[in-house]
Amino acid sequence: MIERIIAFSIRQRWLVLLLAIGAVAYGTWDFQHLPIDAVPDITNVQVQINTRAPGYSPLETEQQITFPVETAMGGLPKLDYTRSLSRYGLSQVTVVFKDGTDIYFARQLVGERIQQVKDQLPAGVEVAMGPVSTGLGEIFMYTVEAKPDARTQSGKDFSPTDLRTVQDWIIKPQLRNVPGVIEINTIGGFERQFHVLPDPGKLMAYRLGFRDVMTALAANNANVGAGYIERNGEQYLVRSPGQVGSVSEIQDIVIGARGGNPVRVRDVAEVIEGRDLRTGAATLDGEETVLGTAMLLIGENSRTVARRVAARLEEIAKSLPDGVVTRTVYDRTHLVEATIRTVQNNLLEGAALVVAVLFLILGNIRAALVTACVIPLSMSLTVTGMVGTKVSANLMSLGAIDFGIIVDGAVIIVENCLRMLAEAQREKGGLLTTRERLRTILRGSSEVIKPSLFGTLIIAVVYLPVLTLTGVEGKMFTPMALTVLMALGAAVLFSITFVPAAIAIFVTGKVSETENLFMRGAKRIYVPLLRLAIDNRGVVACAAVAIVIASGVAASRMGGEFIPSLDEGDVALAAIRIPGTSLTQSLDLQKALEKRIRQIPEVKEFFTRIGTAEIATDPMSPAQTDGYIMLKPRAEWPDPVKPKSEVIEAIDKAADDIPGSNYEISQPIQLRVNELISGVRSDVGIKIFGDDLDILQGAAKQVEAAIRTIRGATDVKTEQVSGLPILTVKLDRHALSRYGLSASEVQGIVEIAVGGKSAGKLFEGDRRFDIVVRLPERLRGNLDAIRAIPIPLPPSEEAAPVRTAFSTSALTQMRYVPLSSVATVEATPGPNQISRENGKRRIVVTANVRERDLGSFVAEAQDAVAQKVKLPPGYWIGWGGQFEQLVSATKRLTVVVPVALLLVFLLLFMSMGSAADALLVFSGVPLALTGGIAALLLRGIPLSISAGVGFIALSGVAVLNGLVIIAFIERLRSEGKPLVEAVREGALTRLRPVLMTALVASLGFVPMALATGAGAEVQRPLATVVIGGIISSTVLTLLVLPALYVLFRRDGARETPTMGADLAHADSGER
Amino acid sequence: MKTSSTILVALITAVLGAYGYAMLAPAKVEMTTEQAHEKKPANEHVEQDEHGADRIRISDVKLAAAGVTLAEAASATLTDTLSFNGVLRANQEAVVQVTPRFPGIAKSIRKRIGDTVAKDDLLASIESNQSLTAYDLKAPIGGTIIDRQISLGEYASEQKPAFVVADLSTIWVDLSIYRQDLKRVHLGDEVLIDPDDGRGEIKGAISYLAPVGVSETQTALARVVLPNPEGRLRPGLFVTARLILAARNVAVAVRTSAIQTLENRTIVFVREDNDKIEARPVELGESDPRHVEIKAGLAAGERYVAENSFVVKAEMGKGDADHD
Repeated sequence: MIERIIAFSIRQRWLVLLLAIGAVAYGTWDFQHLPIDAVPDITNVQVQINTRAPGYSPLETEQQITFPVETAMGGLPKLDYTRSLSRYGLSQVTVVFKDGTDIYFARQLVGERIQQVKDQLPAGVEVAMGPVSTGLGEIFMYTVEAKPDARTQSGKDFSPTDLRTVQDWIIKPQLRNVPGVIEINTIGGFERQFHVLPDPGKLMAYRLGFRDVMTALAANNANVGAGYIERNGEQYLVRSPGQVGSVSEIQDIVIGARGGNPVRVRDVAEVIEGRDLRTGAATLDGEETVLGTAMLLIGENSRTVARRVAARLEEIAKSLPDGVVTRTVYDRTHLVEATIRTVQNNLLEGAALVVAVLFLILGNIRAALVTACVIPLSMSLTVTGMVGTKVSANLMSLGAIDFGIIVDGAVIIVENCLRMLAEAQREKGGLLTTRERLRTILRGSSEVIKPSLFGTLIIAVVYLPVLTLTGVEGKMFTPMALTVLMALGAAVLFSITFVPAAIAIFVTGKVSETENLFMRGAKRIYVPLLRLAIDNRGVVACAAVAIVIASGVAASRMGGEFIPSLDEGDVALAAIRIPGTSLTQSLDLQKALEKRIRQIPEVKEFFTRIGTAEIATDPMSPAQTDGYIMLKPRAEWPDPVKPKSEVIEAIDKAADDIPGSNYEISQPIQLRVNELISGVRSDVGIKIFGDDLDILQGAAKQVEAAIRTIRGATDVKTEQVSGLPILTVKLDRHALSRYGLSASEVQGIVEIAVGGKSAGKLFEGDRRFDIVVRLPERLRGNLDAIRAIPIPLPPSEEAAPVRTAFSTSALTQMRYVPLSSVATVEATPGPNQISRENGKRRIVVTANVRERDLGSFVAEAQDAVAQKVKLPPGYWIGWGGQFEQLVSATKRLTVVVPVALLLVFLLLFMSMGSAADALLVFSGVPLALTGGIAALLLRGIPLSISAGVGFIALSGVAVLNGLVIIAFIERLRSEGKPLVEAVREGALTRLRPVLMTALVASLGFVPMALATGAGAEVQRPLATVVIGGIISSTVLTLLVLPALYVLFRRDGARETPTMGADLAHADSGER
Repeated sequence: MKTSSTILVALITAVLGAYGYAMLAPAKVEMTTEQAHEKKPANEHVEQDEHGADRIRISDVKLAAAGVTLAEAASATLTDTLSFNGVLRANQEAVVQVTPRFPGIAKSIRKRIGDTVAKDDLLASIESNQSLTAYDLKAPIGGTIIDRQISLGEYASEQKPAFVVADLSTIWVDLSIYRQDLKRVHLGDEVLIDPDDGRGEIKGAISYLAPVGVSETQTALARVVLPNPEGRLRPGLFVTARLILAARNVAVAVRTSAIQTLENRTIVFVREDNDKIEARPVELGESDPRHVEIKAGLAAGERYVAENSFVVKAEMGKGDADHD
């Protein structure tokens, strides 16, 4: 079958070549569609349901919105879990679906349920699903600013409200249409609003209430269409515009009439252009600003879209009012391009090194080039495959590709063909005819195709465990394994089609066959060493075991990290203040912080989001801020070689100068992704579920105390759920009944008075602004004012206000009482936020574990909690956190890794036909690992999953090397040679191919190991492990393996070699 | 062969173990390093003394950077005001309702609403039904006609006042005092009345405090009598009034912006030696918009955090702050 394919390829070589070119073209075209980002997207499949409930406190939000919405989401297909957060004015329910669920399917399900539940929600709340975006979605941020000398049309300075209006009504509508942008999120400035501020005294004088004002506003602000009439054959449309368009038109709205005199809004209220009660703000370099964020649609190419946004922003600049400019403060393109550059350099340099090595050893430039051609070919096919399987191109997925390993199969074929051609030429004593040449190539290819496929298969098999990872690790590394597998598959495909065809076309001239200087030198060193190793085989074996054990011990002592974090180039500085910090206070602190940080010479810009943006993708309270510190390009630093960690240290120190906040330093993408995956970010999370917040908090305190005493526990913390000062207006029902007031009347007035209530919209073309009725600032601004809010009393039966001027019954006109006489107003700390999970309130105690293994810690903690914490009925404890993932990953890998190794072993057994031989070959794996560990130790790189993947790749290569040597020795022995001689000869003969594969595979990774560009830190461990491991594996296969073989196969029974013989035979021609 | 195989198997198993460990071990510590960020240990900067008072150490430089200012607790004079709503009324002691003595038909009307009259000015003449002779209706006092309930030819009854004459040279300002404020209002207290006509406040004094309350609104009446030479004050209009409470000297007072609550206690942040700040629980007395009297907890001369005291509170509580 395979041979037929090869024969066909050689016969139809031009067609194959054409197809190959086609594949490259297609791959190049597909590359346009390949989503490219810096890091893989590890966000889970989730739909956020954000409900805005203006004025609602956390308790009301939870009771009236979160609960019905959350309940409605129960039982959705493919639902993983729900969690929710109830804050001031905002309910966020996050519905997490099982991995692999189609996001649009999920959204549709959620949308249907939202429709159902809408009726149960209070009037006036807006339910919306979060944008179809991910943790990597915030690709572009800009600020809207006014130049210092800019003036508005009316000759004033641009206010934050003006800038916000420009953003909302000029910039945003245009940016939203950029393909690939799902949403523009805005924070900062003030939304323009029209405020009607009634004077309660005047209202009373006219015997009007707030409600009358609201009704009048609603009834006098509408356009109607009234159909059409026909007149003399013409059709006239009828319409009656009645919308208000300005402050003075609002003022002229008539509320009622008294004694024939109209009472207008202007008679009882002040009408002004005001600001909304905002939930968030933005600052840039210590000044308030308006910040826009472009969010990327899932699956789009972040770089292209960010570029489009930038281009559109430039176009929009022309339509902005004079003096208003936008400034780009964050552009993902920079990071992605820097990362791509790193990957590209690594790949290109790696490829160049591979070509050089091939040429050095093969000695034939055409053959070397043909082999090297497999690199771009398999890459373009891989790209097509990645587009097909929706794997995005990033550091991780492209980072593990080693061209050396990819071309292994092709190398074997090319080499064998060259040898056969040279042999044939020598036999014939001249150049071959085309026919002879083709036949030779066919024979040469067929002969080695099986071992070549076999080698590739082994490498592929060791990648299988990676595919079984789930969760965050899975999202990180599965694409990498998939990409490598696709690249290997493509390489196999091309080595059986393109490679023979290309050799047939291009390798036409004289093929020389001489051993070059390099190989001669290598042999001169190798021969005495090999003899020494075989003579002292016992010592060598013991030393090998010792080294393996030593490196195992060393590995267990090494520091570790999960995934080496990508250096994004910028710094995220989150400032966290105590719950209850007001937005204004937070702004002041943030401004001071920004001014301080800006003094650091490496800092270019510092901008911050405070609180919640228009679209609550990240619901923060005003006490929380996400700050982004943009660093200057290194060239502009006072000391361009200063390590970034020192700059971060300087930032940390500077931030400490501004008291009142806790700071967390991370990186923009990292911060955002962490927030989205959220749940519990610590090692161990103890979740206490129940109903009563106080009991939950009490239980959390007990748990915290129980955990704290356990050895290894650090950063033990209880989720901050309380501490938000809440002003409770507690109605006195007795007092109400005496005055004849209903609770809702008073509540309505409190609502209008303090928060304000929307009473329609004012239209200016497309732009629309809320008209809000609210009490004047002097009557709502502070605690005393709120206590004095006048509550109008219902009209008394014998009212005759006209007569009051001289009536004897004094004071009947004073028909209102202060709020304090019907309610008590007190400030008490209340819940800051209410978190729920799977429909139940929960509070989380988190802990990190240091210097102790997680499993035993959790067991001890569970014991301690069970003993010391007593929970009332209806309360229970759940255990979660990273340890869950760790446990599941551990379980999975402890099963899958041995299975994969067993599979490799089976493959070896199939090929060798002897368990002992297979085991011997297998012993190359631990020997190779020692080199990887040593390399990591030498470079001071901690263990990580990246390094782990390196070990996996290494195992494949090591097995292949061992196989090559052992198989050849077996073949020599079957020819009747004595053991030691067979080993010596076999090892010596196989020196060249082993060195070649080793050189190719390790040199291919050298650029990656040495790179310092953006993203290099993620690839460095992997490359380091492979290089170190291959060096040790090569040395050990060449010296230890023969020694071991002699040691253990002194007089073993012979079994018939099957495929191993093929391989050995094929390779024998290298001499 | 047998032994060698066994040894090999043992070797491989050992190596598999090491391999597995190498793969899995890192995951254990990793998250701590990654997730912990640069978090500072919680609350290490807050210390408690034996009385349970919280203290933190914070330098002047830091305080200045956050806009925190210090002041010295000292004696102060508290002057506070209370606001009331009121209505202008004609001086009821100078309002006369002029009623015809005999019922009859109004033969002529001499004065209209708003006319100023002197005492004994002719208002109207009425033909008595009994005597069928006309008699004069005269103004009993000098003042202004503020109401007229009679027109020419109309039947005037002795049941119904035909004219109301009021002397508007003095005006009553009736203020409703809510009961919680009553204890702070005394006869003779100075009051500033604002007729809201853009011409400024008028000074007056409380001349009457009603001994009975108004059941409907649960208020009591306080009255200010104001002269009204130019007719600026018109009965029937609403006014607002500010009562200036008697100035009071207190021994220790702090600025109102210094008061914070911490764990349900009212506290003032007191500066101590060695860059320390103590959260000192205090007992508050009276206050005005600028100062609060401290009855206990703070001595005059102690330095306290006057402005931006929330920053200190935030610094004290920041160990608990959480980001999610």
